[in-house]
Amino acid sequence: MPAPHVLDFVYVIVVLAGGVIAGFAPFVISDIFRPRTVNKKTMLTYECGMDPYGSAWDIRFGAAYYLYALIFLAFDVDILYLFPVAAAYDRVPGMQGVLELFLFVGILTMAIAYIWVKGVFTWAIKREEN
Amino acid sequence: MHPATEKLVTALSEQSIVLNECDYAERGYHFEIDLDAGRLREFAQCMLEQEMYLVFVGGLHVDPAIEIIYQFASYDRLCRLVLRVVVDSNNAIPTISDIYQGANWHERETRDFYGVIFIDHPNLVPLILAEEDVDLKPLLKNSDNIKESAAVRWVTVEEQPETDEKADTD
Amino acid sequence: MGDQERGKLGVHSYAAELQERLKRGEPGNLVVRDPGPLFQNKIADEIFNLCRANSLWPMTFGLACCAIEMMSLGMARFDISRFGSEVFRPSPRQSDLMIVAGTVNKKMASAVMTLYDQMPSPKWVIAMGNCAISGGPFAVEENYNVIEGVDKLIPVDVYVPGCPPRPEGLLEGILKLQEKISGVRHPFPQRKMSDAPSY
Repeated sequence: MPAPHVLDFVYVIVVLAGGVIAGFAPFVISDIFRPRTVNKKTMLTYECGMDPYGSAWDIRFGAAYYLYALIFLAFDVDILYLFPVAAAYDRVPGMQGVLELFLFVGILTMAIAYIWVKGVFTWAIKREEN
Repeated sequence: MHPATEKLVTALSEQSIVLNECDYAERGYHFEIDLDAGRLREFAQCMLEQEMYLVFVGGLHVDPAIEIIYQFASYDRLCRLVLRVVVDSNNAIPTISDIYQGANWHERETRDFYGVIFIDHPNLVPLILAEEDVDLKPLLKNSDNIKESAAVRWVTVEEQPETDEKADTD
Repeated sequence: MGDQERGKLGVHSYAAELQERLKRGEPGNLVVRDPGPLFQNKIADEIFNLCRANSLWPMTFGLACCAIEMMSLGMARFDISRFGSEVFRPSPRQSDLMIVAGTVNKKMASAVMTLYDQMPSPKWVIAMGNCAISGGPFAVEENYNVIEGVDKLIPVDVYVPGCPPRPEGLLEGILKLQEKISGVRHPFPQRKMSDAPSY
């Protein structure tokens, strides 16, 4: 008889395995029974009936979109530092934890305010020059 | 007559272009003009300066040669103008698509249906018909159906024998 | 995308094939390869066909005025969902029924052929309305751009005549198709209108 906590893990593994089977069984079953007819254009990527032209690598978009990455990074790092705060939150008494949390987040937010003032978040408007 | 229309009439008569004035209530346009293909671009430029817009460009296959029909109108006043230009012996006519950008697709469509070449058109490829039907020219009539140009211009409807009451008022 | 790339937007790659099919007057062989299913069993086929017949997914694909009747069939009054076909899919990959609802002209024909190719097998086609069946009012001598019958391009299973057909007509067409697929008309019986509760 294994220890009770090992049994708990067995339940988890059974549920996980059941989830994987439930997820993949339709693919496997339909792959076994499906007709595998291929017409001339069945494998074409584009689905509107028109011929595609050009390569997918030709698509260009504005480099200014890196700002999305920057904004995401700025707020994401803020949230990331809140995980240790949440882990240790119950070890400090009452209002002290709240105050320290706000102090900590406030200092982190100053970094965002700094780059904001510096103009990093300003969207560079591209003007068409003809 | 609206002052702007008067200005238009004088501007056209300065270029010695003959305007045939029509009954608007009967025909739906005020002036009818026949023009040589050589003077078309000059005329279109004049129309643009007089702030007339291009309604459509179309074709008509009649006996001597294909007629290209342009209609111009104005947003500010009630003034419609029909222009008929006969293509030359090579089925060609100068384009006005650089003067009126809206003529671009109309001219492509006319080329689709009648095979008329618009000289100096930037992109004279099929617009409405399939690409492989470049030389189809579906609206050209065969020799049995083709009519004289004058016969399809404007046919005055014969007075129908009316009822007594109508006849009395007439 | 440069101008050279745009230059490739010329003749559709199915234009030559289209001309051949029109000349032949029939779709001909469309299949590149067909190795058949990995596992085939008569009972399994019957079960699958019953399932297929009761969940036909049409493609959202209207070519002319018949499409209005097709939309009407999808709405509450005629309610195609009683027969399991209400899921109009926007992509040929997810659909197994193509309702050719309207006039197929020459420029659209290549696209229709491509869309038919892209539908996964098994697939069925309903030609709805006179234009899709035979060209209808366009089947005259002067016709230069209308395909006189979509069965010259792709194989058609059920023809629904009318100009346009009533939504009930298309519904009957779908029922006929279900009969063709499963061998049973109306595989899952519906309640009669007279038995329906009045609200």
